[in-house]
Amino acid sequence: MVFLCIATVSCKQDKKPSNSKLDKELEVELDTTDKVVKFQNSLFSVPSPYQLSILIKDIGSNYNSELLNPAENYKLYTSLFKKSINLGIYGADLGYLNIYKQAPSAITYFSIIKIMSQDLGLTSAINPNIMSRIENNIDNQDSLLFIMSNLYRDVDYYLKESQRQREGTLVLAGGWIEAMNFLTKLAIESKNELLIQRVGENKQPLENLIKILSPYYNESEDIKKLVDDLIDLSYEFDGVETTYEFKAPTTIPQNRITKVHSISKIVVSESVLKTIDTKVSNIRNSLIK
Amino acid sequence: MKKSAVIILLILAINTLTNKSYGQIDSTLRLCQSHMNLPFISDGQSYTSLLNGDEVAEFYATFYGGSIYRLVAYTGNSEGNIIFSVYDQERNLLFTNNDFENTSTWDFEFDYTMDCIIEAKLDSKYINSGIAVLLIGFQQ
Repeated sequence: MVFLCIATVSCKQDKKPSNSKLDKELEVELDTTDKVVKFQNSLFSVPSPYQLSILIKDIGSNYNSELLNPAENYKLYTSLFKKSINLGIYGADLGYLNIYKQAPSAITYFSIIKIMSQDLGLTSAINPNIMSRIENNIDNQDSLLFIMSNLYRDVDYYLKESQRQREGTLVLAGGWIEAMNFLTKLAIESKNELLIQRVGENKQPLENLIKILSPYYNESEDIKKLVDDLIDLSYEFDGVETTYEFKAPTTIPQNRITKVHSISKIVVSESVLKTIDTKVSNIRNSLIK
Repeated sequence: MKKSAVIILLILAINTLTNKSYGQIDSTLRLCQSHMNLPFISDGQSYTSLLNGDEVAEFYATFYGGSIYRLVAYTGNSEGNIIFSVYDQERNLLFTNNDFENTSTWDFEFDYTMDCIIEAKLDSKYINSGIAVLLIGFQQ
């Protein structure tokens, strides 16, 4: 099933050869041997959008409300696809608002998330106490991020449990796309090396996201377009230069920690960064309409 | 009539087994969560894999440089049944909890961003089948 989907994806890409690096990687990763179990699609991780927002604040970027999906847009989302993906987008926006301590707007975005969760039938996934905990901690950055992350994880788990992995994956995709939109915009604006590097470091998470979404490729035109757009974006990441050098890690048993010293270097040229930004914006803007 | 009864019984049995499995995952997930407290924040996902015998589950994750992460892995409700190992992109072993009595929780600090593979398998000395649950969290 997965191979069929990937084959279809490959055929759609007339811009690049069908035996591209990405296609090969997809085939290898999705191959099933008798020793490696592939259970649903939960084996590929996508970094938390909150982590990117924290970095953005740490480098000193100012709050910019124009980066957010306008609150009133939620009324536009009637399909399951749009509701799911924008639940992820609004979740990333709420994290951004919280990190910049924008409590009044955070309350508005939280209300929208609550409505959309109900629309998606996620009420039973959410511990009744969690909503009041969020309301009580709306201006407490640490607690809210902790509670929201747990809420999204509970939703992820519930959707998997109730055979609604597709919606769970779309929520995840929405969060990643929105966080990448923050990141690429601010990387271009600030020219901050760390932000630019972090854009390049999202090559693997993007490939993971494509792998998670691919099984649903033929289930709707919306998903087909999203996967095609993400694959198109992933080709731009081929322009990101990476080097890797293994260094032995240090494990400190008494602190129960391993310090990993291997060196990876990433170079993202200005033109590659601009192209990635344009493509991320186009994908994101088509999703929030 | 007999055929219908058999089908109904089969459906009931499957439902019971499914509910039992999810109930088990649910309690394992809560156990994992008890090790993922502030300052660690969940990445918003739950990773689960059904394992039998010597099967291995692989989890692909990217860890950002300059960050500290926590991995928590359990199967069932007791510690020590699951062996998890972290490899870099070239399959160099970075850590295995098997060196520390299969501890369920370990932290990792990354100097540079790395794409890693986390392998999880059951310790056949203690268990032959189960659902592995893995959580990843980052420190704020």
